[in-house]
Amino acid sequence: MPQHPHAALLGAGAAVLDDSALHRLTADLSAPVRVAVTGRAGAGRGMVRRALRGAGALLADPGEPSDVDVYVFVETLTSDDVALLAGVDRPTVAVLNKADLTCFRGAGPVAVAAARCQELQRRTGVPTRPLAALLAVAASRDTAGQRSLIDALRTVGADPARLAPGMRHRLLAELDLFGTAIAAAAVGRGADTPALAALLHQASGISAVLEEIDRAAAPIRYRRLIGALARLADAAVGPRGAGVAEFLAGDAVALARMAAALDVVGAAATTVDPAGAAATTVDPAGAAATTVDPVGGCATHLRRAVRWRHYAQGPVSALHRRCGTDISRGALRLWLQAGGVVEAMP
Amino acid sequence: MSEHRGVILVIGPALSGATSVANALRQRRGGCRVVECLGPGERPAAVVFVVSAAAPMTQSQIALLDAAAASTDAVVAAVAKIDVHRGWPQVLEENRALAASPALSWVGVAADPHIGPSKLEPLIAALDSALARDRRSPRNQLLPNKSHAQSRIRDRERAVAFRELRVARVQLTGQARATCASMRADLRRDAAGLSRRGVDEFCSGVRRRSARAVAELDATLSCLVDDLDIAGIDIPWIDTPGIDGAPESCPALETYLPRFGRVRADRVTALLSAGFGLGVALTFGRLLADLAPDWTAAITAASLLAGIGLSGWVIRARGLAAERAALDRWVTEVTAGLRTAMEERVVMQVLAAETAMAAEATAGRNASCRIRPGDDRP
Repeated sequence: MPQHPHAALLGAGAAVLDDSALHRLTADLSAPVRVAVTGRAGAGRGMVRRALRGAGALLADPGEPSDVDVYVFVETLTSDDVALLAGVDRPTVAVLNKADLTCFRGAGPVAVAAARCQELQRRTGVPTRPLAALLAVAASRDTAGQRSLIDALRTVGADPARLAPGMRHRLLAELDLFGTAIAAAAVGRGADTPALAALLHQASGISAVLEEIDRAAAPIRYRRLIGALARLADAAVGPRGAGVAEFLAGDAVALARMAAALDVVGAAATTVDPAGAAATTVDPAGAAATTVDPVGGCATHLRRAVRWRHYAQGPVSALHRRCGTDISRGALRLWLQAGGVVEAMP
Repeated sequence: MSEHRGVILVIGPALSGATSVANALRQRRGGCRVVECLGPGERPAAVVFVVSAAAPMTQSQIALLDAAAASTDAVVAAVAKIDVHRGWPQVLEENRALAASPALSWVGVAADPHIGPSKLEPLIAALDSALARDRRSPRNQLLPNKSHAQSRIRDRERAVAFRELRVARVQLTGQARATCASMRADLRRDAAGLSRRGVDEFCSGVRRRSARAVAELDATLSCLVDDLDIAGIDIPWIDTPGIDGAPESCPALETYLPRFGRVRADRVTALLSAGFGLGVALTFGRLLADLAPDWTAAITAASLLAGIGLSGWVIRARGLAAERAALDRWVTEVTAGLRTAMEERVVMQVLAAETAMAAEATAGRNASCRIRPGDDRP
């Protein structure tokens, strides 16, 4: 991420908090999400672990509690998988591994796997994404490894019969059939090492899995933010606490809570309705509109505040009720910033 | 039976490639009828269990294989899609280790290959040898039929047992009611003619009789449960606390005897009886004194004595009547309580039996459902 997601909050906090409190707040808010990989035996859990580590995710050590679980399966969910997924108590992302071997006809393996994942997600309610962990691991390989691969791929494209048996085995082990096919085609078109890595990364579907993990971790980030702010409340009393209290009641905190809460409700809406209607159904005013929009934004923010207040009063879980309240409060702050005037009720 | 000889059932979990294998077999073996789902009452000559080479079997797939293998001996397990999944030999070995029967023959197939030529020969060879083995052995002719017939018999037995249970419930409730009614009539008659000395014996008799009635009911119930146990259903015996020894269900006699109001009632009785005795003594004394004026002193003394005796008798008679009325009320209460307790016992035990039978029936149905292919299909 180029900028800390809570940069505004930390900036405002730096002015009032002492060093240790600010340090703790920063540590709390930027603590990474630990991922645990579980799933069906033989589905390639080890390879998924390597792929996630290679793509920058933090994996929980065995025995360590995780924040998000990744459930690995192949082809389709068996009744055992469905039963396990129905009983999870942590945010979980299901991953259809070996997606590069799904089907070599029609739209290609990854497209077929993606369609199947959407159907499975509709049935289970668990976010499900296809992944070719092998390709993701190959994409995260170092440059020297890539270069020798490229040489072999050139031979495959030019004269497959000349390929040494050892190299053939290596290609099959590292890229398998689909990976070799697309990589050889790309190398034939003149792709270099970074281009090949980008192609494999894109074909593996690892970025969609990471996005989904990020989305599944939204409630955890929201809870962390709430917890960190609650701990700060201890420092808001006493002779030197006025500044902290002001900070906690200020716009930066309200807007940060609003952004985290929007992530939570947005993730939930996307899982329920994967067709991408989240942006319109959850928040018609635009999910990312946490900044002040001086032109004509005044009425929009007020409408939004009213709408989320109604949401929080509706039949939703405790977490979503808090999120609705936070979004409503943040929208009211934005409304005030945009020039809204508080009037007494007639 | 002869038409069933040629049916080959191809089953497998969702997306395992069972349909492709069935289609390929249909093309290669024109003589056999290859189906993916059996018709009612149909029996397969052989079963081909197809599982994908993508990963080793899961528990639900092992259960499906077991269910398939239960219906016939000629079972061939195939690991499909070996054209795409290069690691299929390991998957095959792991599946062989996971399957309950080590004798099961496992083959790799590529029925509808995306890459390279199709590979079906090992499956056909394994199928042929399984069918030949099947023909040689007479056991599998009987096994599926026997199991079908057994399950049908079990269904019928279960239906009969359900009906018997309902009848037993009505009968036992009626029996409990009749026992209590006759017991109440007997005891009330006894109580009406009770002497003062017999009260304690009567009370213990009531307790004894109610304990005996409960014991009889328990015996009948345990006979019923034993009958059902013989039918293969394990029924828990419900011990309802409080009516085993019956005394707990009997309300204490003391609460019915007029102990609290006794003092005032006794005084009133004594006063009235004394008045009655005095009146009798005065009347008789005056009458006799008029007839024999010489014996006035003796007559007065005698009438006074007679009056006092009469008063004592009236007091005793009045007390006995009160005691009998109290005993009558107590007997009514005891039998009503006993009836409720017995009816509750019957209902609880029958309910437990019905629950056990329903659970057993559900488990049996699930087990028989499992044989249907496409168990975990979307």
